Amino acid sequence: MSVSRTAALSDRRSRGSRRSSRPQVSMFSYAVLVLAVLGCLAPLYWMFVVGSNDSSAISRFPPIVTPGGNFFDNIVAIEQKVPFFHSLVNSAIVALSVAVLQMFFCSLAGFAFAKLAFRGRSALLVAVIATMAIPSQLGIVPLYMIMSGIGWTDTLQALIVPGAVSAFGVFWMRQVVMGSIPDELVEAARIDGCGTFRTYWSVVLPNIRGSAAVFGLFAAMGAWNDFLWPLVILNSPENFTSQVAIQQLRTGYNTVDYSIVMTASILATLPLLILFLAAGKQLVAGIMEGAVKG
Amino acid sequence: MRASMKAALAAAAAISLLLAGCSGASGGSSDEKITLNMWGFADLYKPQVQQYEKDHPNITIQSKISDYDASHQTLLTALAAGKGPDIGQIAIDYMGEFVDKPAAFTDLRKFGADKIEKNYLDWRWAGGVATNGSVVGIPTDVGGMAIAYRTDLFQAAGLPTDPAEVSKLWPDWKGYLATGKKYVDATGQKWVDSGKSVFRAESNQGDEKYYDAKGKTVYESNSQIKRSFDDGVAAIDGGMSANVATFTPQWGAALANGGFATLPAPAWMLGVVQQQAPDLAKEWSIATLPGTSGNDGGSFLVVPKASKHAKEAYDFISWLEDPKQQLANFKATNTFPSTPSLYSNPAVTSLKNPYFSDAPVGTIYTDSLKAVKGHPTGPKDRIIENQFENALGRVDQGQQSGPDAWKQALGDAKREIGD
Amino acid sequence: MSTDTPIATPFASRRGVRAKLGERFAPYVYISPFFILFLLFGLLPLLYTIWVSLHDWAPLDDVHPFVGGDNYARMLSDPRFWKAVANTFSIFLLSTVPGLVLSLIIASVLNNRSLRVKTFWRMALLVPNITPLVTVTIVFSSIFGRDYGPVAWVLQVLHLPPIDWGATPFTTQLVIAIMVIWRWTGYNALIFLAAMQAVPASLYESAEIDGAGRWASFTQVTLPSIRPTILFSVVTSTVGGLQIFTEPLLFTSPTGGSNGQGLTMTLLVYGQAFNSFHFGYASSIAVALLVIVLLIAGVNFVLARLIRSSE
Repeated sequence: MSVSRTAALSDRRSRGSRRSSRPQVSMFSYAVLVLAVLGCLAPLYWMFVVGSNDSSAISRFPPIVTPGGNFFDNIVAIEQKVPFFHSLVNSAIVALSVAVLQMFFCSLAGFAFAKLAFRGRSALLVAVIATMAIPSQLGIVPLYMIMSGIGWTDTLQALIVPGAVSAFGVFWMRQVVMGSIPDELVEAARIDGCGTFRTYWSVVLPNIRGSAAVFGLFAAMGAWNDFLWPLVILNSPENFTSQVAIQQLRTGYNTVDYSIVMTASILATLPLLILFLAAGKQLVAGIMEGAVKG
Repeated sequence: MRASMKAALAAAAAISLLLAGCSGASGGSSDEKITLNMWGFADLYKPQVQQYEKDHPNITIQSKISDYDASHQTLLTALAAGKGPDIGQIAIDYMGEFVDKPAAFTDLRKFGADKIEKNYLDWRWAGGVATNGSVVGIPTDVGGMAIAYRTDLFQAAGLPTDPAEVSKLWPDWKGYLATGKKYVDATGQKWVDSGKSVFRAESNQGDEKYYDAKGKTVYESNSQIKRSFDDGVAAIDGGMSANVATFTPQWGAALANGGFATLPAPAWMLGVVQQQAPDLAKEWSIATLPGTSGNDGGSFLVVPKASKHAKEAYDFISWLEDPKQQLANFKATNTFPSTPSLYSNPAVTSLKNPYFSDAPVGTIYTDSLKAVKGHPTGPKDRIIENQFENALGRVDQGQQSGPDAWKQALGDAKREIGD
Repeated sequence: MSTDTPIATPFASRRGVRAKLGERFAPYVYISPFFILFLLFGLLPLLYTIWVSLHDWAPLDDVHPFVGGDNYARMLSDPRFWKAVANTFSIFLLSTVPGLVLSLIIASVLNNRSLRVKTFWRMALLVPNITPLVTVTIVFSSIFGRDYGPVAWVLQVLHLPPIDWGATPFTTQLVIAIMVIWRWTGYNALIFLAAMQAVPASLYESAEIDGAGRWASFTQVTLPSIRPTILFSVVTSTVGGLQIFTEPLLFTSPTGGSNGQGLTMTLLVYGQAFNSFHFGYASSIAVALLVIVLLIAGVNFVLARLIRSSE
């Protein structure tokens, strides 16, 4: 059952009134959701249990399920070892910059791949996919050479600039543009006298805003979680990102105070959770809005 | 490679002009303030670092630690790129591979390292010297080796609990395994954490391990290795092994819940036991290792060639590992010194550990260290060790018989190193 | 929804020939920032890896002799390589297939206007993706312990024998797959959700008029409409799934366990490079992985094109 383009165009206006024929959410649906959410959050709760007790909590049998009172003591201990809250700020800076840069560069490139014809387009697309397929562990060595060559060791821009382009992002944006922007729209812009960039900025971008926002969020999450490259390139504690800072909580040979590590890990997720909360409503609206705009 | 590197650097330079950012805080450009970057896997003792910085106001020391394997990977990445921190910490297990490449490191003899050689255990020092005589690294601490055991479980099984009497039970590994058999028969519980532990402790006791003095691999013919392997298998086949891998959460749980009654333990492991089983204070004690001599662990501090402050780095690490500082470190953190002059120091020998029922850990560990003969190290030590440990892991998991695992280990080792 | 025919270049403009020429190069100009960075940080490491794979490359050596295809020959006769390939595929299938199905189900449940506290569900689903990976493996290792941990406790209560999850290939890979599913299901569900919310209501309305129930409208309306997104997710999950690395590394060991139970291709690459100091050999395995991924992605695309052209 294929959807004709003209039908899609005219139907965009009616999207606002959809779902009115399905008012109820079934018990089955809620059950699925509750199960999924329990599965997602249970390990986090376990982390909190260990993080608020002591390191031996991870070894207790039968397992402990109730939190203890050590959470804030652990926070103090963490901050004494490494400037952890500052590392959260560093992570935030990197994540935000990467998100913005990726949203811009990847949507621009995605638009070009989707709507513009140019020599070598297919070959370039294959090259983009190819770079997705190479394990990054090996790429770290030449990357390190480049960074130390231009004097960017131990800087945050060494994390941001390589992260500004993402093969996955280009691939996604190409997909989104292909799916959401009909050729006629771009035609119309051309007829109106828009240059390529103007077309991108005024016509394409507003229509993919919702997806771009979701993508930006994912890009931020990816940058936040990056562990290996920051570990290699950063030196000074005040430049550490949160994942590197968590590593500094080791105490000796293979010794891990699980409780402190768990506390730090939970703290490391909080900024993103706050971001979800703040941006959540926007994202929900954004996804819907991207669908309604015609 | 060169051409594409040049092209890459040219492109990078163009970009850096466009995206000019200020570089981060990595060492001052002026002669006065120097920042030393140290990468490792174990913490520096903060008060010591602060004291050094106070005595040398122009020097700041920054350390970055990470997981045991990750820290070596990070160091390798930087070295492979022709760069590196000012100071690197390399574990004794990994050192064989790094010391084989002295060109990547500053020869510390340049700053007088041969003068301090006499301070250290000879076999410990030798591990940091390359075949061309270049001093690549300075030893840090040592592990020594002993057996930690559960006094309450021993008592329940009808075994003695006093360290001296327990040590008499196993002057050699045969005695250890026999006692283990008795324990398992009496209680039905496990005796040791894994077959691997037995292998690890025993294989270090010979005068050769995987290489001979000439640098040839001898792991196939070395009877010490075969014996250690067979003893590990015997422990497993005798139902004595709890089959938990060291330092995993499972191992910690077994520690805390009576999963095994004995544990071959170097000095630095005692802290881990305390941390994972705080409720078992005074239910553990320490006895001599079968065969007495043993070491597990320890590391070296190296100065990569790329360091711009090699002299200052050397000054710091030679100060840090000086007998006086090792003693201070020992008093604060119980890490065992690698400087034998301290082994007659009452501060060391009189050490008793209250968690471990006030066992005389000072004398037990110094005795074990004094008995070590030392063996030649080689570049593929760790790889070969991995194959044997994997083999015992397979036996422990019931996937293979002892003899089959041994055969596969030899084949795997040959393939890994024979390229 | 065929958008395969792009807008023909150049953009016609009333501003004359020079502007016309400028527009001709426009595509290149506008993607060049991306491509300069991509060249430097994406393509260069790729080419470097291929280059290194043709040499005997020990990282700290001064000379790296050129050996041509030797690394590849060695790889093809190395039993560990084939074990890694097999494991990679089995872990990939164990994790990606159920994961994507679960994501579809969850997305369709979320795709309901009258669902309450929408943001909470979305947030909760993304939590697994923002938990530090290192911590995730500690947590799952202790959950799936043989003698201790929640699963062991449940087995004990049910009088079942303990399971040594890290012992056999199947149980090891199952735990790894569970970790991967846990981490990515919510993420993919949100991607599907975004696509589902772009499906016009009129399609559902006409389906209802035709008498379609919930299941029929899901399979006849939703799924076909979001097919590009499903294809996209399959391709990206494939690329990601074939590169699974951190979970097996931390759940088993750098060698994938005592007998390589959890040895994936990327783990083998890592082990050979950073454990065994054989960068050249590791690079050849990485290139092999690249070829496999491209092949599978290519197969995906061809299949999609066939399905599309058959309707």
